[in-house]
Amino acid sequence: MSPLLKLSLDQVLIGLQSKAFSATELTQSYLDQIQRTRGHNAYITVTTERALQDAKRSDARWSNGTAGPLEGIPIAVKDAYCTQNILTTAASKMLHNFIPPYESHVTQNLAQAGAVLLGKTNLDEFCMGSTTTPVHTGPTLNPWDVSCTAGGSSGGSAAAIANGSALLALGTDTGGSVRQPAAFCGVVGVKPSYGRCSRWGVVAFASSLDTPGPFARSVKDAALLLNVMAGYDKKDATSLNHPVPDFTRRIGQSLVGKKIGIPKEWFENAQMDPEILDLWKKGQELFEKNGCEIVHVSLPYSSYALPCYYILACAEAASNLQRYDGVKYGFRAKNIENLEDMYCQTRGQGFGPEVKRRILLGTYVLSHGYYDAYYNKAQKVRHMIQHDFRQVFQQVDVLLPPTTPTPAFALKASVSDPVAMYWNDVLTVPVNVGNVCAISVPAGLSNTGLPLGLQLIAPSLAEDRLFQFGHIIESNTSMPDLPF
Amino acid sequence: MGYFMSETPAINPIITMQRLARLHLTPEESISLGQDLAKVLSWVGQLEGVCVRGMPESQQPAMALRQDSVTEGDQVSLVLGNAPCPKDSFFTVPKVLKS
Repeated sequence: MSPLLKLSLDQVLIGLQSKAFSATELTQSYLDQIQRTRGHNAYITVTTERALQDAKRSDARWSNGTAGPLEGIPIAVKDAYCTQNILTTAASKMLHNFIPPYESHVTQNLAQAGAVLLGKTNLDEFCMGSTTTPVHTGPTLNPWDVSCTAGGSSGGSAAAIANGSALLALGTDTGGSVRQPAAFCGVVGVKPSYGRCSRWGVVAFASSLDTPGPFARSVKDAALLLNVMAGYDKKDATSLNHPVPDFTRRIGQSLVGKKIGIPKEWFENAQMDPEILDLWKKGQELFEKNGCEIVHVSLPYSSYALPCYYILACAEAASNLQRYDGVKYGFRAKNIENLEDMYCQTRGQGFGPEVKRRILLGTYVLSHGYYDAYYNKAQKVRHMIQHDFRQVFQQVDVLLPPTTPTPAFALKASVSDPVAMYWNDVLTVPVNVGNVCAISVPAGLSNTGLPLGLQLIAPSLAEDRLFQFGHIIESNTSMPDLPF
Repeated sequence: MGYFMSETPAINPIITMQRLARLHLTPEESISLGQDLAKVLSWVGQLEGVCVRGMPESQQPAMALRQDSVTEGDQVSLVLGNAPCPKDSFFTVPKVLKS
C-alpha cells in the first residue's frame, strides 16, 4: 500500500505544491487502493480514465501556478450526484443506464477547484435507507468489520474514506444519510444548512430536506471540502444567497464560557445502547474540561420529528419519483400492453422494495381524505419543531447528542420491520426537520471495536461552530487509525 | 384505467395506493407492503394527538423566482440521449388509440 494514502489533506496539498509527488502518482495510489478494497463494495463506478486525465491536468496547473484549492485531491462522489457523461444510477435498476448530459452544481464546484473524481459510490436506492443495502448494486460492507453495515444512505462514501480509497467524499443528508454512516465508519460527516450547497443535479428524494454534505478523515478536511461545495446557485430555487465564510476560521479558538445543550427528551426517548449513553456522558465531561457549561434543555416537539419526517419525506418522494415512468430516460419494462401498463410495469420492476414502500406511504398521506390528517398535520408539527430549535439556540451555542442510538449493527440483523429500522434515524432526523446544521465526529470505540460518533448541532448558517466544537472532540479523543 | 386522484383509500388501501402511484406489485408484494403500510400508518398516527392550533398550514422553503424562459435550447440529441425508445426527434410511448 502506498504511503501517500496515509497523508492528510494538508500534507497532500503541501506534497503536491512542493512536487514531492505528483497528482498522477497520488491518483494511481488511490485507484490501486480501490481495487484492493473492492470487497467492501464502496464504489458502483470507478472512473479510472477520467481520474488519470483529471490528475494530469492538475499536475499541469500545479506547474503553471494556477492550482485550485483542491487541486489534485482524489474525491469519491455518491452516485446520487449527476456527473456529465458518467453513469449515475442512484443504486437503482430504474437508472441502470442513465448517463447525465449535465453536471451537478456541487461536483462542478469540485472540478473547478481542481479535485480528481475517483468514482461514484454506493448508496441505498434513491437515498432511501440507513444501511446501504440496495438490491441493484448490493450491500456496502463496513471496513471496520465487514459483517456490519456501513450505515446509509451514503454508506459507500463513508466506507471509501474509512478504507482509504478516497481522501474526501460527497454524500447527501435528508434524514441523517451523511452523519449516520460517518459515525458507523469512524469518519467525519457534515449536514450543512439547507440551501448552503446547491441541490441542482442531485437525484431528488425529498426536496425540502435534501442536503449535500461532505465526508472526510478530519474536521478540518471536512471544513475545507465544504468551503468548495457551498455557494449560491441560481439554478436551485432554494439555494441561499448568503456569503460563504472560510469554515476553518474558528478551528482552534477557545470554547471557554460556551454553552452546550443536552436535549432531555432525546435522552428519555431514543432507546439508546448503554455504550452510547456512556459516550454521551464522556462527551459532556470533555466539553466541561474545556471550559464549557452544560445546559439541560428541552425540545418538547422534537420527539415527533421521526414520524413527521417519514410523512413529509415520503410525500415528497412519491411526488419526485413520479418522473420515473419509462418515457424520457432510464429503465422501461418490456412486453407491455398499453401506456398505463408501461407506467405500472416500469415502476413495479424498476424500483426496489424500500422505494416502493415509501412511494406507497407518500401516496397515501397525499391522497384525498387523508391529506389533512397526515401531510398538513406533519407540516404544522414541523413548524413547532423548528420553533423548539429557535428557542433552544437562544440559550446555548450548540447541542450535543450522540449520532446514532447504537453502534453499527450486523448486516444480517437488518430488521424487516420498517418502523424498527426507521428508529436508527431518531437522533439525526430532528436536524433536517428542524432546519439546523450538524456534524458527526468520531468519539470512541464500542466494546467490540466499532467506531462511535458524537453529533454537534448548530443553528442554520452557523456551520463554523460545528467545526470549532468538533475539533475539540477530535483533538481530545484518541481514535485508532482508520482500518487500511 | 383512468385517473384516481379523487378516490379515497379503501379499508385495505394497498390496492388504491398502487393504482394511484402507477406501481405494479406482485401478489406477494401486495401482502407484505400492505402489512408494512398498515404498521407505518399506525406509527405515524401518533401525530394525531399533537395540538397544532395556530400553526400555519403549509411551509415552503424560501424560493427565488426567475424568468420562465428557455436558457439552453436546441439540444435534441442530448435530451433524447437517455430515452428508452426515441424515434427521429421524439420520445415514443405505446399507442394510446387503437387503429
